[in-house]
Amino acid sequence: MSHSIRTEQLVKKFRRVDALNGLDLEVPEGSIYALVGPNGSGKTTAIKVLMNIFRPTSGKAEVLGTASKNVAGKLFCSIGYVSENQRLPDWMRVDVFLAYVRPFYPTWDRDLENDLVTRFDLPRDRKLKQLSRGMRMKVALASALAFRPKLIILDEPLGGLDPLVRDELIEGLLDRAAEATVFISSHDLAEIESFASHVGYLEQGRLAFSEQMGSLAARFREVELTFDATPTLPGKYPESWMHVSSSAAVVRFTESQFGEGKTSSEIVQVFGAARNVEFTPMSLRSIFLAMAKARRSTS
Amino acid sequence: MGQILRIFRKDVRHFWIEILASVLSLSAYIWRVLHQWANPLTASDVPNYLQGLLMTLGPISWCLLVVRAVQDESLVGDRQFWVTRPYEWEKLLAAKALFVLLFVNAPLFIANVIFLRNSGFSPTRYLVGLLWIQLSIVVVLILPAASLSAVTSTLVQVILWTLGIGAYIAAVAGVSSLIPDSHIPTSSSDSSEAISMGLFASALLGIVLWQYTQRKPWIPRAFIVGVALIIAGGSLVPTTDKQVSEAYPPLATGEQLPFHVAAIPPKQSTNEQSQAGEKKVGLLIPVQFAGLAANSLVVVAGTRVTIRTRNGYQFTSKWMNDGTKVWPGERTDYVRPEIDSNFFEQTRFVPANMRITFAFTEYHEVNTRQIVTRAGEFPVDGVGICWVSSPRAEYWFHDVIGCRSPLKSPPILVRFETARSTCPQVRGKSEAPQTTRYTSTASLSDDTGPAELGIIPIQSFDLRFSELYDPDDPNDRNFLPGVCPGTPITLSTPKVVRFASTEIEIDGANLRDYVPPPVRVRRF
Repeated sequence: MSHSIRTEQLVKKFRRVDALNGLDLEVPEGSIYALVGPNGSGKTTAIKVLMNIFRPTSGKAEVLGTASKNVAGKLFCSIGYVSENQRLPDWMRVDVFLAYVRPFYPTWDRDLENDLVTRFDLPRDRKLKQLSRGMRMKVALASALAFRPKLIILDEPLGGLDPLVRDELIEGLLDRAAEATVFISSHDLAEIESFASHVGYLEQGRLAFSEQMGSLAARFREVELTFDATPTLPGKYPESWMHVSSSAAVVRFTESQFGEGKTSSEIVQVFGAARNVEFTPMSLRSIFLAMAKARRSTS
Repeated sequence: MGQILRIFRKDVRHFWIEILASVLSLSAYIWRVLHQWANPLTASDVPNYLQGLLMTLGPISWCLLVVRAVQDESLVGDRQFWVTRPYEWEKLLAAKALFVLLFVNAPLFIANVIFLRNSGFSPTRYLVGLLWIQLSIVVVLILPAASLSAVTSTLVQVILWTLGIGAYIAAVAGVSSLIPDSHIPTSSSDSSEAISMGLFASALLGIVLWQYTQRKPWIPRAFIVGVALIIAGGSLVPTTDKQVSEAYPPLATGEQLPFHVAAIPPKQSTNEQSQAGEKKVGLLIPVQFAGLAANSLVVVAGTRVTIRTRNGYQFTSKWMNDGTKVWPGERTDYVRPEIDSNFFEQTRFVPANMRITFAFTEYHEVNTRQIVTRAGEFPVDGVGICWVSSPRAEYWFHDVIGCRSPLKSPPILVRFETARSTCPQVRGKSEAPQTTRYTSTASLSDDTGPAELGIIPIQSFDLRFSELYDPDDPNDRNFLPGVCPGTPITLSTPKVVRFASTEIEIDGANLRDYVPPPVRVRRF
């Protein structure tokens, strides 16, 4: 499988702060890859290294097969980048801005531009500085999608936006996702869950895990066991069980390597027969919370 | 080319107000100067400060345009949208260069051409000089503004940097003035200045190129600070005696001094008291120069005085920048050392040995030609256009020739025989004294390049003749004849023959004889 983005032992230091600490990342071509993680985990730094805004301290980073330090000029005809804190030329009107960037891209699609402007309800005759933050994000996204890039990189595009604008942005993005790789960083796990095909969890500059959304959702379950009497809790549980807790005759835990047969037999081995066993699928948000808590208690 | 034009058009659209303001202020200045030239006696209706303001607005607006254009695609920071668009740095830089070329260089060029044409000079004849002015403005204004803009992200930051650099230069100059030094020109000054300017321009260009290719502002910022420290270190190191003696070596054995110089007794009455509370006492040591060969000129670049007293005290002054011009004929001049008042108090009654060292440059006249002055303006080959009796002439006794030269003021020597003056006799003097009067341009060096930087590429200067009074008249009441239409004058170009130094000694001198009397203020 070819990858649109690949990093190997990527390190970025800002004086004494290690923003990226040996990041190994692979974003498959055609995927919608969501990079998530807590504040300060290095998501924006990773993207800025990929975009050659920052130079890596060490390690390798490749974007569309090009070393990140060479990502410049014409290569950006294939990359659409939008960041929440990007400074646009505020003095330009929307139509002037689009007309200005249009000739930079040989593949610019005027019909698509018009479609995006209509879909995003962009006021062509308004100056960018007169637009709300959400509208500006939509302008930036329209200008980053209209040339049909092979790779779309979005840095926290959804933060602080109202639900309507968020939905519009995501819809606009998904329309283009079929013909591009999308790499998106976000805090908004609920929104990401609805469309990401892959997810990577970044913590302290390192990728804690990276996998397909389907397999992630399949291997995590909230498990609730009901016994006839208060069970005896053993000191040791299978490694894949997280946050085991009990209340009277009920035991709850999070299973991170769920398999109905496997998990059921492990339950029997640990507790004996339960009166009732419930396996509940988890949201992405619940999975990350469980993982974050587990890491915190381990550390 | 398409990308260059797109960025250029965008910049024009964004900064049209600044462009318009710049063009208007320059146009107003051109109009004002031309109006003044056309009406030299009636043009004083505009206050000087307004004209000064108009003159400075042009360059300020150019700086602003450079800063705004560069910072529109800021090279500092990580949030600019253009960084992740298909910009090519060479084309971006070319677009900015095109903008500066059209809205800074071109207006300056047009202004230069207008002023040259209006002054009676054909611009096509002076194309090299005009291009030199363009190069100069790139080095002096455009590159500094562009490099500061390249390492900052806002206009306010540029202003703060400029103020910081200005304050730093003032502080270094202030500290430098406290260090005893001899700022006398040396033979290597011109070449080292050219090298310094070349390095300066290269460094600025390097900063701009670095930022367009790398966008790492900390490195050029550190470079600027480092260079500033090195320059400060260099300027605070005083010129050593060895450097001066290398620049102006003593005459070799058998080498003839081109002139005679001797101390003469002081004229003034003695003044035995140093001024109460003054830390320094100024001395006035008269010396007489004579015997310089015709067709020669000596410029005393610096003097230094060493005083040794018989009671064991010694004082050596720093090199004093002199600039005295010694022409053929006799001339009395003064050496003015300042000594500590303590030293003076301890030595004023003790005979002293004074040694005065003169560092000088000897020039010979070359390319000598004679012309006869005319009424009104007349062309002078190698100079430009001159006049002796235009409304610009300030004095009725005609000791000034006014000239204007294209691009730069040329080094020129002028002399005339008073016996051939065509001016009417003054103050009833029956017979004009037979003597030669001399003058020269302020600078005798021709190493400043083909032109001097300026919006007006015309250098106006006065050639004011020395020796206003008849030297044979002990009362200094008779003016010497001047230059009037019809007076033949001899022009030449000074050529450096040698740099050298010589010494004279005054033995048994009483320092108190050399203290000038205090200035008496008459109360009415």
